[in-house]
Amino acid sequence: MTSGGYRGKILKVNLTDRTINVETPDENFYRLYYGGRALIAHYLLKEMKPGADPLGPDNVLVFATGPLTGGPFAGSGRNSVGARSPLTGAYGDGEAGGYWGAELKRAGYDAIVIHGQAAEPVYLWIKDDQVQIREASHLWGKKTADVEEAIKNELDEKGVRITQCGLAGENLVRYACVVNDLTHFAGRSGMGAVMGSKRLRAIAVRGTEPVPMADAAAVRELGRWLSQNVQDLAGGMRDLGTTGTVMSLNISGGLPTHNFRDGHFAGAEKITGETMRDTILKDRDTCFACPIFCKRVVETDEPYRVDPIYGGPEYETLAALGSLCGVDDLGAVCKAAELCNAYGLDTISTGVSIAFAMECFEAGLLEAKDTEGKSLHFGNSQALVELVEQITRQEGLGALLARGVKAAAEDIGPEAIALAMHVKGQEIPMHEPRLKHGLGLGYAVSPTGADHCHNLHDTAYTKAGGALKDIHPLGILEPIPADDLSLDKVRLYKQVTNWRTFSNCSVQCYFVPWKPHQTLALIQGMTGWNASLLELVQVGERAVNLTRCFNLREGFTAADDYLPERFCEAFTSGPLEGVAIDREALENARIAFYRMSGWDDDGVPSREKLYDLGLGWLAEDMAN
Amino acid sequence: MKVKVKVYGTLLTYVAEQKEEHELEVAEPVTAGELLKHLGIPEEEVWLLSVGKRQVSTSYEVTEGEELSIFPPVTGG
Ligand code: SF4
Repeated sequence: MTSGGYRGKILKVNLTDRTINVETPDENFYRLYYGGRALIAHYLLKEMKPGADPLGPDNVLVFATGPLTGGPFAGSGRNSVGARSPLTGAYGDGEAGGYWGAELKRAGYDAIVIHGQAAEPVYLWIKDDQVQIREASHLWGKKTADVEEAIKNELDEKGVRITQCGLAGENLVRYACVVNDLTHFAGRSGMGAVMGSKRLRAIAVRGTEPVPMADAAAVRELGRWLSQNVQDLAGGMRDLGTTGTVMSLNISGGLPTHNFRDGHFAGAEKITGETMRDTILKDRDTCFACPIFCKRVVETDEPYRVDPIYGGPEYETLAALGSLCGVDDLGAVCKAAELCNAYGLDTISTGVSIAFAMECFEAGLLEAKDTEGKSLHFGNSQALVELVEQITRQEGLGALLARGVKAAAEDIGPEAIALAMHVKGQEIPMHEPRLKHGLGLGYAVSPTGADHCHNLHDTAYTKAGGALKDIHPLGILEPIPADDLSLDKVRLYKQVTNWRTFSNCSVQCYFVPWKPHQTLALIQGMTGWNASLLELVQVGERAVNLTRCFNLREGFTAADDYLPERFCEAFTSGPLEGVAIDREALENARIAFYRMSGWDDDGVPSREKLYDLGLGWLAEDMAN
Repeated sequence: MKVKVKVYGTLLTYVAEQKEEHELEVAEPVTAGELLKHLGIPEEEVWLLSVGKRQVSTSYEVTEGEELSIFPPVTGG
């Protein structure tokens, strides 16, 4: 085994026959897959039957950490949750901060792989090497805070950390998220519904052994350096978190508004991070070992009572439940966000689904009889809050929206399909491709459907500033305009995505301003490996190829790498008036990305490419 | 004349005491680009400049009483 960074054990639980096993992979396994996305995709390819129903017993649900998880430095408190997505049918995962991932490592496990389906609701209780499957019928139907409290009370053990699926997951809402430590969310791809389908309400963990480090002094030194310089390096993140971007995006014309019909919102000032800070912000919260404190905690009393126990909205949530739905009532946005958190709904997909319904209503595709008499115009804040309840309980219009906008639009009819903002069934996050054209390419080709996390944010690389210097070690030296889709942009996209996908494998927070050489030093310090930057980028690329092959195996083709037509239509108002994605340029960029990746023009990785990445077994599997 | 400047996010690193709001006494005319220099904020670190919630370029002449806002690039995660 490695001299650090890992615990060397993967916990395997079968909920159908209630068996618990431990696998001890060798060092080469860890060095090839690292953790997070690559490790999850490996298990899905090896252990999930092709064509498995995402909500059936044959789906495989993986909770994974990485070599940095649990280390004494900022950004190490994350965990990833992956499975075949019930929202897209493709590879799916979500990642969350907090403390649960670090606790799992302290308990002695790098990942948990869950098979089968329990006959009755259960939860897992992991105390170091003691693992129990416990009865959870009494927790079923409860809000996340009540479940957290109930489990902590019955285990009567200090320091227990809990991850759970919420009521939305129990009810199989296709975009239910996984909630850990109450205020941290593995939001995307519907992993909460997979948990719910397995009748696994929660996993409680307590671990007592620190994560081993090969070179503890070097690792601690880096952690200390960041803490000492945190104000200079991340003072803005502490002050406003991610919510600081509402204002500048609105001014630029790239704030998703009215279901992406507009890029500029007249009421934006009422829902900015600054307004939130100056009115209802009660506290700032953080994750394991992180001095940045970028998380929000809000509280309001009138007219909506928002409970601070559920934290507060980040940028994605403010935009999805705010400007995208045309709602400028900050209290209502925070209430809708609080309910999403208490029930375990992804706020992005929830907001996009509600905005879709609002546009359908305005276009006459949904009528009062479909909405129980509700007027679903953009800006109706009361309807926003009520729909979150209805989606969670699959009641009324909520039952339709709980399936995601792709399925909902197919039910409503052909005209609604043009208003359904998704890629591969995953609702579009709050970043506008007409502002960042490379991001549009990224939405199209992403294995998880529309995703902003492992994507390129073009606006960071339009000048020769610090953000560009940070990626000089990846071979990117020249700035490129945000609205460019040339071969140079495709190269930028590919390099940045491989690097960001590596973060999904080391399971590290994107918001901590570690430079690539510092991330490398942390990997070396934790594991003791003579790792190189090339190695880390290749791990990212390996994950891109593993997930691509998973999707191909599940029937996805190049035709699924598209962008909604709306982004190829010009804005009719706002600062980006007249700007659209050029359809032909996007098509050319997509093919160029395939070719640069060593894939054919149908987006299939070549046998040689898979061997090049050390994935010979996959090349052989794909050939059969 | 007096102009106001508001600095956002990571760009605060470049200004003294990381002060968000500034009121500057400057000689007329002054461009947005000159105000960046005055505050010591490198232009290549700036993504967006705005006056009165409208995007402006570095050559925009800021007039008495106007407020210039300076934003860093937006990413996501
Ligand atoms: S930067 Fe924010 S999200 Fe990332 S680890 Fe720190 S507190 Fe958590």
